[in-house]
Amino acid sequence: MGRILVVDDEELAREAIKLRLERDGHQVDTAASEAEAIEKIRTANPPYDVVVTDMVMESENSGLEVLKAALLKDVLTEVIILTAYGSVANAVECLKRGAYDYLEKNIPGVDVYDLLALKVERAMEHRAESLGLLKRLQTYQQAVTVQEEPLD
Amino acid sequence: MTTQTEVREKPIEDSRLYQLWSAITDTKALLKAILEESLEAVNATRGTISLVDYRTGELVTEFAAGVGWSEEKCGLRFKITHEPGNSISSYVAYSGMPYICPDVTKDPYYYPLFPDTRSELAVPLIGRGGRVLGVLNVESEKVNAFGKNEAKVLSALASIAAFALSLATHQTREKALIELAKELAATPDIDTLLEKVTEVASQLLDADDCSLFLLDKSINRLVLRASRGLLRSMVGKATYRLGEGLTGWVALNNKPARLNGVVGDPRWKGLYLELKPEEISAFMAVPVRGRNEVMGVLRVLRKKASLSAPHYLFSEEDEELLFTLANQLGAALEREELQRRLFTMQHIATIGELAARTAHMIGNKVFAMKGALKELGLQLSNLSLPESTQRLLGSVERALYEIETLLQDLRDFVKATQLNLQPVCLSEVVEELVQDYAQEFPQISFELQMDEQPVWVKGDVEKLRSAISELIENSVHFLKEGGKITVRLTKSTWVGQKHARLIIRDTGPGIPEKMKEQIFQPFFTTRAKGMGLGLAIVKGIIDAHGGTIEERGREGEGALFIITLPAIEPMQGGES
Repeated sequence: MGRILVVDDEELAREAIKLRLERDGHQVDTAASEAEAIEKIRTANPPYDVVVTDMVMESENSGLEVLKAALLKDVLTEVIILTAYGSVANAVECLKRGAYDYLEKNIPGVDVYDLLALKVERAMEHRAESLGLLKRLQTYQQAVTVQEEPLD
Repeated sequence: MTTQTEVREKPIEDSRLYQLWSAITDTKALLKAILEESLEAVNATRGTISLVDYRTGELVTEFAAGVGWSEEKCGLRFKITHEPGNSISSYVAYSGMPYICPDVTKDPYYYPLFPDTRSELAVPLIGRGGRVLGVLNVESEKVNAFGKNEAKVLSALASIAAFALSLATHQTREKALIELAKELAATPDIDTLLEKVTEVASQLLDADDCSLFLLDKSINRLVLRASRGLLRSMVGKATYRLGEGLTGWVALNNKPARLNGVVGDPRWKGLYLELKPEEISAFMAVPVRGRNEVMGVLRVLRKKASLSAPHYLFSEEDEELLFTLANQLGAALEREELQRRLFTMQHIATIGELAARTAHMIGNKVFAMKGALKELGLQLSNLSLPESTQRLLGSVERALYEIETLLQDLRDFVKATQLNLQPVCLSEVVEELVQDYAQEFPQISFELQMDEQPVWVKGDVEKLRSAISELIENSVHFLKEGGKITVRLTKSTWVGQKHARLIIRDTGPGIPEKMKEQIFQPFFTTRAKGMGLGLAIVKGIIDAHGGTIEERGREGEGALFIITLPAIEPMQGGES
């Protein structure tokens, strides 16, 4: 199962997401701010598989900063952005910059926690596929390098 | 060279033009001259010019000439009546007809002032609309001194005097109107302004009272906002429904009313009176008109006194004057409204920001609660709890979803007011929309009326499009069986500002009267799915643009929406 970082300045929300994802067997860390999240991402070893982050915390663009830090640490880390009212535009911007998906926190009549759990599952699969592809590329690269070496 | 010098040296006062000019502008001098000319022309011993005092219903001797008159004797007052013994002039003022009195000793109307008077001739000074302004009266020591010829000559002179008086009144009125216009533009306090209008109206129209009612849309009643006399204590309290009484009739029909007395008029209701109804001799009321509608009623009245003859009614000229006053007032009120809207526009942005932030915070909390509730539910499901506990969890969850729905409405509302302003060719937007809808709904007939010149506004093109399409969508919704939707876009100038005016009218059932007040209120209706944003949001969008939206249709005749938006000069190129 995955190593996941949940970032939200709302303690209740953080805990609820943590509980929900732990139920699916994930190992969940939490951070209460953009700064704390960036610090945890930097020092994580191995890197997180998935980062679930709120969009608006210290600033309108906190989610974007967390995304940057995550991709800097491991380009294959999948980031899911959570948005409350009015921050969808910023979330879309995050998608352009490499976030895996975004999720609106308040969809009337929808169990967004289940939806989030589903998205995390997909993100894990996506990461696994990407890692698989990367591994094949590396193997291929090694093979090519070995072949080419005598010629150099 | 020499000729020019000569001309220059001649004092301007001696010029013929100057004399003519001073003659028509110096009414007093002119009337005196006419009186003297009259005495000479008909060979009279003495004579007077008396003028009507409309407030008291009396005839006042203003000018006198000839043997035995002195300054002190002027200022005599006679009641204007057909009753005997009140002076011949007074009777002429009453009847409005010339009067030849061959022998004063046998005349019932004669009032003795000089012992040697034997015969008299009096002609009325008649102004525009047949109104009697005064009387020119001459007398002689001889019996039977005046005949038809003298009456003709005197009438001719009287008409010059009447013309001079009318001109003077006209000038006074014009001056007062200009003064008022200046004040209306400069007075920031609306109540002072309303007071001023009633004051000027009473003065200029020789009215005993003047009252101003303005339409309060929130209660759909005409409310007394200013009055000069008895009604002053009722300001803010006296109200008429539209159509109620004469005042309500004027507002409802957007037409003036001018009548001789009010008793007996079927429209008269007399709810709030400046005077007792039987004391009112003349009543006149005109609508105060705004851009789209009647904003109120300005009314004046005169006390009865003895002025019951028809020529003491308010004249057509008086009506024009009252209309002019009402129009100036209408413009001033619109301007006030314009400023208020600008103010509102700035505040909508601030409030919108606050609301957005609050919605965001509440949304976050609700999200957290949903999560906690879900986990709680799971943990509780492991215990064997009664069904009622499960139901309680369900209700909490439903309540949370309801909060989220409300927040979504609020967000839509706030979003509508957050604009990305750019020059927009409104004509293009409207044309495209109408074409799209016409294609989609072939059973409905669409009519588009637009000026050739494209209309531009500064606005958020997406928001404007969604507001207009919401209105068309609404009409379409009520025209399932077919019908007609007319969309009209014009440009108009109001209070010095250019406006785009968009009218959307349909032949549907219209909006029920009792719903009209509420249709623009947010959260008034639980909006049906797929019905778009709702009228509250349409209003939110239009308000945020500094515009107005009103529904002015009649139930049973279809809906009629009028949108106005501040217009800008057309941009080059057609793309917006």
